[in-house]
Amino acid sequence: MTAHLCTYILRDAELIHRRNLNIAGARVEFMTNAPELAELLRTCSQASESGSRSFRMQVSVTDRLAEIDPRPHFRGLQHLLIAHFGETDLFVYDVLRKNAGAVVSRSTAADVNFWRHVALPISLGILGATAGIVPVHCAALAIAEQGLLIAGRSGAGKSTLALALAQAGFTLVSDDWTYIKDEGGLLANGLFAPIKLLPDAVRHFPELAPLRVTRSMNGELAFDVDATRVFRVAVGASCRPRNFMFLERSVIPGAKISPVPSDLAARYLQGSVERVPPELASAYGERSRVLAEIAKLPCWIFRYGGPPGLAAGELRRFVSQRMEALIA
Amino acid sequence: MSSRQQSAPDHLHRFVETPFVLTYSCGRFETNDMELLASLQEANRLESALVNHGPRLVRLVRDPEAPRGGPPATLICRGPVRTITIGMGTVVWVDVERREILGFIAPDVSASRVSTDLLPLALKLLADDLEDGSAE
Repeated sequence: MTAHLCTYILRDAELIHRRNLNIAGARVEFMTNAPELAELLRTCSQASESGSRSFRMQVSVTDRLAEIDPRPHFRGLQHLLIAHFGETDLFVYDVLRKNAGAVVSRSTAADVNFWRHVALPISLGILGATAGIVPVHCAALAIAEQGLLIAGRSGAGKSTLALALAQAGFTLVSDDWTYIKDEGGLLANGLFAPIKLLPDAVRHFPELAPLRVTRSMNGELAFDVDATRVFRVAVGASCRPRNFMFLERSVIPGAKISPVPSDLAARYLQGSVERVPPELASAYGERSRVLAEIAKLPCWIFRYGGPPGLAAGELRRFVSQRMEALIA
Repeated sequence: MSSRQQSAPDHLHRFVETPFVLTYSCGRFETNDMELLASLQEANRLESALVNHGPRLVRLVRDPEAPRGGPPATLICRGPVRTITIGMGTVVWVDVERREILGFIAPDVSASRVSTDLLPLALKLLADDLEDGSAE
């Protein structure tokens, strides 16, 4: 079998093009053999301050030709994980040693959308917790320094509501996955992903009408939209969350916000993150602490029926009232 | 593990049970595939190789949901971890420092191929590194 093996050895000495990146608050030591990839990744680095801890990413670019497989394949045992994106594009993650090693084709290396919307979010989702960054399945928005986290089951309408809120004056940080760390208070980061809207969102946002739906990684048909370009809304890199909101849809028109105990938030958060084996308990220790801090935020259920614009107006009033209460 | 964590998703199939176990003097072989265990026991030399090369743990998961076919076998070496892939569905990691061999086997890779081809290669990678200390 050895004779037929295509072998790649990722040696530091050969990965001479290096960048320190800030990806959603995490510091990533990036190394590659391809100067053009190092330069492309530099453009993905965000300006905001990154944390003190980091993980390492080593990428070897090969001349083997390949297409990105539209159905990626992921598996993991203990501290080792693999993400397979096709013929030559594969990433190996070592959670205990806080690193990712990857082999990608030249065409993949040059695909900025792959890095921005696939490779970096997935790498951050897997290794972020080792650098104190916890991926949470929620949207994040802010207005007047008041960050709002909006959680809900898939299909509950987080992205639709997030866009409506952005149109109502909120700054959009993320609509689906938010990367949260706790360094002197919680900080929620977004990751330049396009906003994903299901085809029926065109009823509320006529700007979508001329656009085409595409099939996303989970097989769903959706609009993948650059919110700034298409809707001209404000997009920010991060915010300080002040409230945690569960979204529930109702068939009855109207909106209602009710307080809920923080243990509901704790249960939701613990139940939504990937299970980890016991040997990774210390590597993921930060995750439990950050989730516990999020659960301490004032926690609410937001039920609404009817158009998302009305719901956004209701939430805007809610945040204003919370601010007034704080000032008083 | 708490009940909260047990209800959390396992998208990576990390928690697939591997109830078929073979213990040897310095370690343990675990799998969920009885055919694979039988094939390993038939290959007597392999059991002695396990003892000689001394992986602390070998855990191979038969993965019926893994994709079949795909690109030829690949070996990626990074630090103390060697990763062998066959197609998109089969992956075997060799962690030289921790002396562990872990992996998923796609449905189209036979038990005999694992015991005569794949696992001996993994053991060789482990032995080579233990002998020359070349793990970076």
